[in-house]
Amino acid sequence: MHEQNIETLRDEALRLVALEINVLQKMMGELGVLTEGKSGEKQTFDRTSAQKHIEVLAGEHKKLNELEMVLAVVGTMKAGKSTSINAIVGTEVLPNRNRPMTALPTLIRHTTGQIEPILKFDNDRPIHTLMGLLRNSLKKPENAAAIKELVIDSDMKEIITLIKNGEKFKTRYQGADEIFLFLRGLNDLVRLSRALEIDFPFSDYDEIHELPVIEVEFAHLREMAQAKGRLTLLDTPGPNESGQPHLKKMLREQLSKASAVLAILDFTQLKSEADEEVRKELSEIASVTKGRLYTLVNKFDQKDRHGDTEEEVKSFVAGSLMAGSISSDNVFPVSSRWAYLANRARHELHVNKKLPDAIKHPWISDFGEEAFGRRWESKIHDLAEVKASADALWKDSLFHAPLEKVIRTAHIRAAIYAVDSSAAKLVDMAEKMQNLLNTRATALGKSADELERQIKNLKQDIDRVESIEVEAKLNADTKLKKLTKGTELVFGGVKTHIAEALSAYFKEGKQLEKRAIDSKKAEEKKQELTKPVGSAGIFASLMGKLGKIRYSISTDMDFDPDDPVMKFDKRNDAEKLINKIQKSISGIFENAESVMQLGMTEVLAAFQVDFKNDVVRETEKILSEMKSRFEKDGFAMELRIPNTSKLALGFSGADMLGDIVSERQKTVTRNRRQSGAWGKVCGWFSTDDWGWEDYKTTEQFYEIDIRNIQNAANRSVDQAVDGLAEAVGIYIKKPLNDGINDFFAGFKESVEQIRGDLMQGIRDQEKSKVEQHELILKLSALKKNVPDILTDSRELKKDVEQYGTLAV
Amino acid sequence: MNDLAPITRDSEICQVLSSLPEKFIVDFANGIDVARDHLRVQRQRTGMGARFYDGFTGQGARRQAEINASLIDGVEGSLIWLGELTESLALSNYAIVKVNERLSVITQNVTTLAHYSANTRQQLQKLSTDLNKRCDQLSQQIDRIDFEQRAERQLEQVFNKWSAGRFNTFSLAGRCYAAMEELRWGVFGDYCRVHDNQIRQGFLGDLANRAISQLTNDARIEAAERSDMTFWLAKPTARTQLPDATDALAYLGDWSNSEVQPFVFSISQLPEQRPLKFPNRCNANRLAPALVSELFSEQYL
Repeated sequence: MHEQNIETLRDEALRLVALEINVLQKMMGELGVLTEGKSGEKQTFDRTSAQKHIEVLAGEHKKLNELEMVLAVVGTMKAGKSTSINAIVGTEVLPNRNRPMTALPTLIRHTTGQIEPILKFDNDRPIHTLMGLLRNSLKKPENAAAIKELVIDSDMKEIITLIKNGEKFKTRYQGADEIFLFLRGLNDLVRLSRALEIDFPFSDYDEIHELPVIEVEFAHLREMAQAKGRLTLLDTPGPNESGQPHLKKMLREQLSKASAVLAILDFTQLKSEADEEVRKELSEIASVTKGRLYTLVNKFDQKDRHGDTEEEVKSFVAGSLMAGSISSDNVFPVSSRWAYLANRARHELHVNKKLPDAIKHPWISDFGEEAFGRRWESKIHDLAEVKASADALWKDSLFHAPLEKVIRTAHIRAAIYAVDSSAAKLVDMAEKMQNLLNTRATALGKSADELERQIKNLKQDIDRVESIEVEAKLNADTKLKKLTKGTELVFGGVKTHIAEALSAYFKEGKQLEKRAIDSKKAEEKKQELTKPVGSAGIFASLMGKLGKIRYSISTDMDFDPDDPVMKFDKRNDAEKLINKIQKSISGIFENAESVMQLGMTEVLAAFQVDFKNDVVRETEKILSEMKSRFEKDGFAMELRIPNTSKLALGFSGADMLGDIVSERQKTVTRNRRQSGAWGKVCGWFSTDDWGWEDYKTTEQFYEIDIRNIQNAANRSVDQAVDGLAEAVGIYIKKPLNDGINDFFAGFKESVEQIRGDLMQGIRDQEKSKVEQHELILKLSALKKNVPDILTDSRELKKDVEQYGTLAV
Repeated sequence: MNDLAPITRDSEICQVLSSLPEKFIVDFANGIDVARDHLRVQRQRTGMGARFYDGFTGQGARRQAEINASLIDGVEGSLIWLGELTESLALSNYAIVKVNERLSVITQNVTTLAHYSANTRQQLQKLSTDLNKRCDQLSQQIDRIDFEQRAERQLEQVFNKWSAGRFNTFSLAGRCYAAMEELRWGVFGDYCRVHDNQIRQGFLGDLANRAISQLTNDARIEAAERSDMTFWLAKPTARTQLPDATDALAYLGDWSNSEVQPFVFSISQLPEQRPLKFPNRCNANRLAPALVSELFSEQYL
C-alpha cells in the first residue's frame, strides 16, 4: 500500500460524509419525517438531534479536509528541543534561554499568514478555577510557612502575587517574549499546586484541542499545498520527565495519538547518555510510537575530525541505543542550530526582503559567523550572497531529509486517524438513518396495539440490561479488590524478603568488619615492631602500651556484633557490600514486579473473559430476542452490541508497574546514599601529653547502617503500595468503569431510540390517511439512499482498519 | 462535420455491441422534430450519432452525406429513411417499441400541424402500420412458452461473449456495463419488462451473480476485494482497445443522469467530477448489483 491509497480512502470518507449530510438534510426538509423531540423519550433523530448530527458530520468533513498532522517533539532541553522546534518553524517561537521544563505540552501550529507567533489559550476556565482554589489555599494560616519558603523563588513569588491579586491569564499572547512569560507562569502554577497539594486539572488538558496553541507561519511550509493538511508541533516533555502518573498517562496517550514523533538526542552526549536512563526513555517512546518515531541526533555540527560519521551515528543509535526498536534509516544526525539560523534568515529575506539589524538581533551575528565565518560583517549586506549562504547552511544542517520524511509520515498517519474516526461515525449514522426510516415506514402499516406491545417489550429489555449492568459493575469491583489484595500480598512478601536479605548481608558485613579490624591490628603490631625507637626507649615502650590500649579500646568499641552500624576502613569494601545489597534488593523488586505483572494481567484477562462470557453473551441474547420479535412483525433493524474494545486496556500491567517500581527502586538507592551510609571521621593519633607531635594521621572509615537501609526499603515498599493504589485508579479502575458505562449506555441508548421511533409511529397513525400515505412515500424515497451508504461506510471502515495495521 | 470514419453495422464496434445500431435508430426516431421540421440531434453532426448517421446513409463520402443530409433533415426524408432502416435491420423488440412510441407522438403532432403534405402523412401512416404489425408479432412471441428460454439464452450468449474476451476493449466496469446494455436491449430486457417484480428479481439476481463472477475472473481478485475506482475504470492496453470503444460506451450511456444512475453515468461518460453517489472504492459485489439496479429497475427499463 502506498500514500495514494490513503488519499482515496480520505476522498471516500469525504464523499460519504457529504452524502450523509445530504440525506439528513433531506430528512429535515421533508415535513413530518423528523419531529420535535418529546421529553421523556428519545427518538433516533428528532429535529434537534439531527441538526447536531449534521454538525458532527460537518466537523468530520472539516477534519478530513484540513488534516491535523500532530508532530510530537520529545527531548530534553539540553538536547536542543527548542532550537529544533525553532528550526522547523523558521523563527524564534520558543525562547532559547533558560526555559523551564514544559509543564503542559504546548502546540505550535502552522498558520499561513501569521508572521509573528501568537499564543491562544482558550481553554482557560480550568486554570482559573485552579487559581481560585490556590487563592483560598494561600490564605490558610497553616500554609504560611510553606509559602514563605516558596517565595524565595522570584518566579514563584510572581505567580503567588498574581493569584493573590485575583489576576487572570490572558487568552492571547503576542510574540516570543510574551509567550515565554505565559509558559513560565503556567509551569510555576503546576509547581505551586504541587507544593500546596491541590490537584492540577490535567484531565482538562489531555486532549490535543484543549492545549494552549501557538499559531505561526512555518517558513518552511509556506508553499505546502493546502491538501497536505496542517502541521502542528506538540512540544512535550518525555514521559519519564513528567513524574506524576496523571501527566505520564496523558503524555503517553498523546504520543500514541501523534501523527509522528521526533525524539531529539544530543550528539555530544551520545556516548555518555547511552546509559540505562536514556535507553529506557527511548524504548518507552518507541513502544508507543511504532513506525512513527524519528530521531534527530542534534549538534552534529560539533563533530570533530575524529567524531563518528553520519553512518556510524545512525547505526549506533539504531543498534546500541535503541536496540533495534528504530531503523537506522529513521535516525538523522543534524544541526538544529544551523537549520534554525538558515531557515530564519531565509524567512526574513522572504518577508522583509532584508535581514534585520544585527545589533538588535543577536541571532544575525550567529548566522553570519556560521554562514560566512569571522569576517561575516562585510558580507551580510549582500543579499544574494546571504541567500546563497543560507541555502548552503540549510543544506549542511542535514535537516531537510528528516523533515520531509517525518512530514510525509505525519500526513499518512493523520489521514488514517481522520478516516478511521469518520468511518466509525459514518457507519453509526447510516445505521441510525436506516433504523429510523425502516421503523417509521413499517410502523405505519401496523396497528397501534402491535406497536404498544413492541414498546412494552423494549421497556423490559432495558430493565434486563440494567440488571446485567449492576452485576457487571459488581464483578469489576470484586476483581479490582482482588487485584489490590494480591498486590498488597506481593508487597508484604517483598518486605519480608528484604528483611531476610538484609540480615544475611548484615552478617556478611559484620564478618568483613571483624576481618578488617583484625588485619588492622596485625598491621599496627608490625608498625610497633618497626618503629624507630631512637628518641628514647622508655617512650617507646609506653607508646607501644598506649597503642595497644587505644586499639583495644577502639576494637572493643568498633566491633560490636549487635551494632546495626557496620564500619569499614576501605571504601572499596563498603561499596562492594552496598552494591551487593542494592543488587539483591533490586532483584527482590524485580521478582515482585514480574509476579505482580502476571497477577495483574491475569486478573484483567479474567475480567475480560467474564465480560465476554457473561455480559456480552447476555446482552447478545437480549438483542437477538429483540431482533426476532421485530422481524416477526416485519421490522428490519440494524442493531449491534457496542464495541468492547474500550475494555481492552491500552496499558499493560508492565506499563503501569514500570512507573511505580522503578521510581521506588531509585528512591531506595538514593536514600541509601543520602542517609550517610558512610561518613568521614577524622581521628587524631596524637597526644601532646607525651610530648611528641610528629605522628599525626587522618583516618577515614565508612559505615553502613543496616537500619537505614531497612527503613528506606520499607518506606519504598509502602510508597509503592500507595503509588500502586493511585495507578490502579488511573490506569485500571477509571478506564474499566468508563468502558462498562459506555458499553451499557450505548446499548441502552439504541434501544431507547427505537422505542422513541415506535412511539412516534403511534403518533404518525393519528394523522389523516392522506398524510399517512404521503409520509410513507417520503420515508421510502429517503430509505433508498441508505443501504449503499451503509455498505460503503462499512467497507471504508474495514479498509482503513486494514490500512492502519499495514502502515504501522 | 464529423472527421471520424462513419460507423456501419459491419464496423467492429457494432460486432462487439449489437445494441449500438438499435440505440441509433431509436435516437434517430426521437430526433425527428415535427414542429421545427428537422432532425434535432443530427444537426450537431458530431460524435457517435453523427458517425452512425453517415454510416447508415450508406455514404462514406462526406459530400454525398451532405447532400443526403439536406434531404433527410426534413421530416419527410427522415420518415422514409426510418422506414428503410427498420425494415433492413433485425431490430429488437425494445427498439421497435421505442420507435413505435415515438411514431405515435409524431402522428399526433402532425395531425395538429397544417403544413405537412399529404405525402408526409401517408409516409407516416405506412410506417406506423408496418411497425404495429411487427409489434403484434413480437407480442405474440412474448406469449410463447419459449420466451423464458430465449431470455436465458441471451444471458448465456452475452456472458459467453464476455468470457471469450470480446469485451476486453473496455475497462472492467465498462465490460460489465456493456454486457448489461446488450441484455437490456435484447430479449432478456423484454422478458424483464413484461414480468412482475418477483420473477424479474430472480432473473436479475442471476444476472448480478454472473456479472460478479465474470468481473472477478477478469480482474483476478476476490468478489469482496475492494479496489480503487481507477482500477475498475482503467482502460485496457492499446493493443486490445478498439479506437471507438470509449465513444461507444459514452454513446450508449448518454441518457444517464448523474444523480439517478451514478454508476452508468460515471462508467459511460467518464466525467472529471464524479457524482457523489459513485464510490471511490468498491468491490465486484457492489459494482455489478449497482449496475443491475440502475439498468433494470422497474422505473428505468
